[in-house]
Order: sequence, then structure tokens, then C-alpha cells
Amino acid sequence: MTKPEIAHRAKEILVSGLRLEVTPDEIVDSEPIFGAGLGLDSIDALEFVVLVEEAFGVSIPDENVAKQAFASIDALADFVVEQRQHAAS
Amino acid sequence: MSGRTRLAERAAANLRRHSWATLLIDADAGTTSTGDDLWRASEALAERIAGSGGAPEGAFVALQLPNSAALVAAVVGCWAAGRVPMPVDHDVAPAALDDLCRATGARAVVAPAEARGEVAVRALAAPAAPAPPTGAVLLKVTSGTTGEPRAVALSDDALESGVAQIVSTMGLVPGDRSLVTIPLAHSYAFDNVVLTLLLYGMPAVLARDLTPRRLLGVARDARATVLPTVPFLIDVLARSADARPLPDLRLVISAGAPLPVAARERFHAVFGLRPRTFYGATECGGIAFDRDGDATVPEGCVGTPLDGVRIEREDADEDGVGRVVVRSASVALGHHPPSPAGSEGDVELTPGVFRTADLGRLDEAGRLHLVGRVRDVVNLGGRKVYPAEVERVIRAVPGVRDAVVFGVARSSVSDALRAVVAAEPSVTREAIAEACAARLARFKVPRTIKIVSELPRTARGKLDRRKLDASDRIG
Repeated sequence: MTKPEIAHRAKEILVSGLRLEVTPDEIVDSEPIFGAGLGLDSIDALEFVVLVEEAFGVSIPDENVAKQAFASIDALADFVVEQRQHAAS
Repeated sequence: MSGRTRLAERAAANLRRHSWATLLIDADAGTTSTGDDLWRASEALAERIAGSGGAPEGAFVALQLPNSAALVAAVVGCWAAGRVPMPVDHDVAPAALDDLCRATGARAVVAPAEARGEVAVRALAAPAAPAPPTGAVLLKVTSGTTGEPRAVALSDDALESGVAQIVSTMGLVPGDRSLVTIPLAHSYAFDNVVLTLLLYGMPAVLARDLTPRRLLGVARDARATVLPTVPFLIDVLARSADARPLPDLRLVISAGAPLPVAARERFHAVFGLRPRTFYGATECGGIAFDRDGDATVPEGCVGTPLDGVRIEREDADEDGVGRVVVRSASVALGHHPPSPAGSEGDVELTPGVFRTADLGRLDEAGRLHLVGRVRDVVNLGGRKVYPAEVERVIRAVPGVRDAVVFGVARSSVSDALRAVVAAEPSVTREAIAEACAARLARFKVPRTIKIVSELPRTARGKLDRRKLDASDRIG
């Protein structure tokens, strides 16, 4: 999976998993996922942790990592790429 | 000190008895507190409150602190200084805190100071609040049925009885250790955690980071035996990729919102134990508890009355459904400020008796089944629907996590039934409508159905009806 593919899949999971009333294409890659435009709260964030771990086989060990990974779709895609490279090496 | 109550003496004696024992572990801060640490912190705070000038003996003191050793110490410190603590949400909006302090007549606020780990005491001007009930040793904040924040005043008798009922009913023992994922400032955790620690020496592990892997790791490392929590966390933990049995965990308590049977059984499949529903209210503490914990306990069943609690139904209809009335030594002294009396659907506190706003029935086994709220009867042109009945049918549809049904105006004179359903992406509106049509009278099938990922809930875990209505207008 390339980074753009991961970003696209992440947006699909966000929209379908949290039942957002936007389309994946409407989510801006560089904008914060939580605490801003999408109206998502800390309960959504815990839900998204479970969905992202399941979809990409990555591990989100704590709140600090989640905050960095969920800073934006861009950041999340970087996080997934990095974790997968780490796991492969 | 003259103002010291029996409860304060008992908490102080208990902390001294556990001088060397670790009573509190703050997993995120990486700190531990012994009984002696907590006692010394409470004495230091008692002196500062007594010296703050603003708050005389008997005054209410708002404790705006996150889950921490400082909060537990502040409760004991207030008691030691003869003041009455009122724990509030640590992230409460400043205006809401001002309103609450004005309404209750609180004379000081204890909040985190700039320096890490320190607290600051801020005195407030004397307000023109009504006189509180005599004998109050604690104010618990409640949102009430109207949404207007107010407090409930409790005596030391009520608090001691309430925690004794919980300890006895749930079989808590000194070797137990709670993992705390819920706000200590709320009634649920105050009784189950703060009071079991202060009066029974039961240690607690505080976890503010609720990321599933982190929380499961803390539970494992700290060897937590009891997890008092809420349905959404039970659901998230069971679905975590890191979920596997926790050998030391023996009791998971679910309160604050209905626990869907599907979520309960999924947790059981992964962890090998079934979360037990605990039903309670700020006004009277614990009411009922699922003592059985088996797979057959149906949706809506909240178990049998706690030891020492009697449940009655008022104005029961032909199905045995009536308003749930609680008789217990744990019932609070009263609301503070008092609520305007007489409004239909409001809860009511009289000595030893709490009239809830819940509707329920008792089965042959003495178990209470909640079927709705007094206010929640939707009147559809003269035909009445209890939303809880429809919600139960919807929750039984595979893939549905939670559901809420309520009335919305369809014209100026008539309401229609609306369902908002939290479900897996595979669940369709048609499937929900079919399930309702198959099990309910035609008029009870919701006219509109909306599917969402999560129902909006407030910080207290209650359904956020305002948010629900707002999202409805958009959707």
C-alpha cells in the first residue's frame, strides 16, 4: 500500500466507521482529524484507534502516539507507512 | 476540630491504619500514594482552606480537580477542616462553575495550581444562596431531569450506608483493586472508588489515558481486580486488537447507560467474564445490581435491589410497570438548591425515599427491568409508546450497538416516532424497520430512522439529547 492509498483508506474508515455525513474526498489531508471541523470527540477517537489498528495491523500504544498519528490524515498515513516498514525490517 | 464528622474520623483513622500501604496508583503520572501520603496532603489542604478566609466552617468547597491523589486528599482535607466538599468536573466551563457555585453558595474553589502537582484555593464572595439541608457532609453535582445543574446534599449516614450496600452486594474485599476509568467527581465513582478507598482501604489505580492497549496494559501490570466503567468503554476494549483475558480481573461493572446484551456477550467472549449492570442515581447511590451475571439476563434488566435497598413501583399499570421508588438509608437529604415542586416527571427526595424518573417492573425473581422514563412516554395522537420498548427491539438487530427512540413534532398537534441507531455499516434502515414491524404494533414502528456510528453522550455518559436534536436537523 502506498501512502496515498493508505490516506484514502483511512478516510474511508473514518467516514464509514464513525458514520460521518461527509464523503472521504471532502476530508482535507492536512487538517486535524479530531477536535475541529468534523465534530469528533474523545469517544470517537477511541473508536478510531480500534478501527485503524484493525485495518492496517498497526499498534497504537497510548494517547500520545494516538495524538500524533491522528494529527491529520497525512500524519496518519506517515505513521502507518513507518510502522509497516519497522515491522518488515 | 469541632466540625469533624463521624465520616471524617473514620476516613482519617482508615488512612492512618493504612499508613504504609499503597492506596492510590496514578498510572499516567507514574506515582503512588500511601495512606500516610494522602493523610499528610489532606492535613496540609485542611490548613489552607481554614486559613483562606473566605470559607467559614460548614461552607461548601468546590473541588475542580482531575482524577488524582490530590482530589482524594482534598475530600478528606475538607472534612478535616469541617467544610463540605463538592467535587465538580475538572474541565467544567468557567461560566458553568460560576453558576453552580452561586446556586449552591460555595465559598471556595480548589483547583490545580500552576506548579505541577500543587493545588490552589480560591475564596469566593458570600452568595445569597438558600440554606442547605442540615447535616450535609458532601454535595454531589447532578444534571437532573431538567438539565439544570444542581447538587444533592448527603449526610454521613447516607454515604456510609451507600458504600456498605455496594461492598456487601458486590462482594468487594480488601484485596480488591479498582481500575478507574470514570470521573471520581461523579456519584458512581465517588461511591465505588473514593469511599471504598477511604472507608475500606481498597486501593485504586487511576488511568486517564483510555487508549485500549494502554488501558489493558495498566490493568495487567497493576493486577486490577475490579473495573467500574461505562458501556462504550466495555465495547471498545472488547474490540481492541490487544484484547485477551486479564487473569486478575474478576468483576466488571457497567453503569451510566444501558449495556446492550450484544456488547456484554462480546466482552464475555474475549475476556471470559460478563460485565454486570449496576443501576443507581446521584440522589440515592446504588439501587440494583446484576448479581447473576449469566447469558440469560435480558436487555433492560438491571438486576436485584442492593442489600439494604427496597424497590417499589408507584401507580403500576396492568403490566406492573410503574415509577421506580427507592427506599434506603443511602437516600440523600435533599436537592440543593431545592427543586421547584410539583412538575410532572421530576424526581423527588423525601427522608429515606427517592422517587426516580424511571419506569420499571419487577419479575418473579425480584429483578428490576427498566422500561423507560416518566417523561419519555411519547403520545402519538392518544396512543402511548414507551421508547424503551422500541429501543429494545432495535438493539436486538444484529450489528446494532445502541439505539434511542423519541418523539419529534410532525405537525403542531402531533408527534412522530424517530429512531437514531448506532450500528455497523452493514445495517440498513430497512432492516431496522422490518425488525420493528415484525415485533411491534404498527404505530410503534419509527417513522424516520437514522443510522450513526455512535450516539452522542455527555461527559456523564448520559444521552446528549440536545446534540441528538441538532444532528437531526442536519441529517
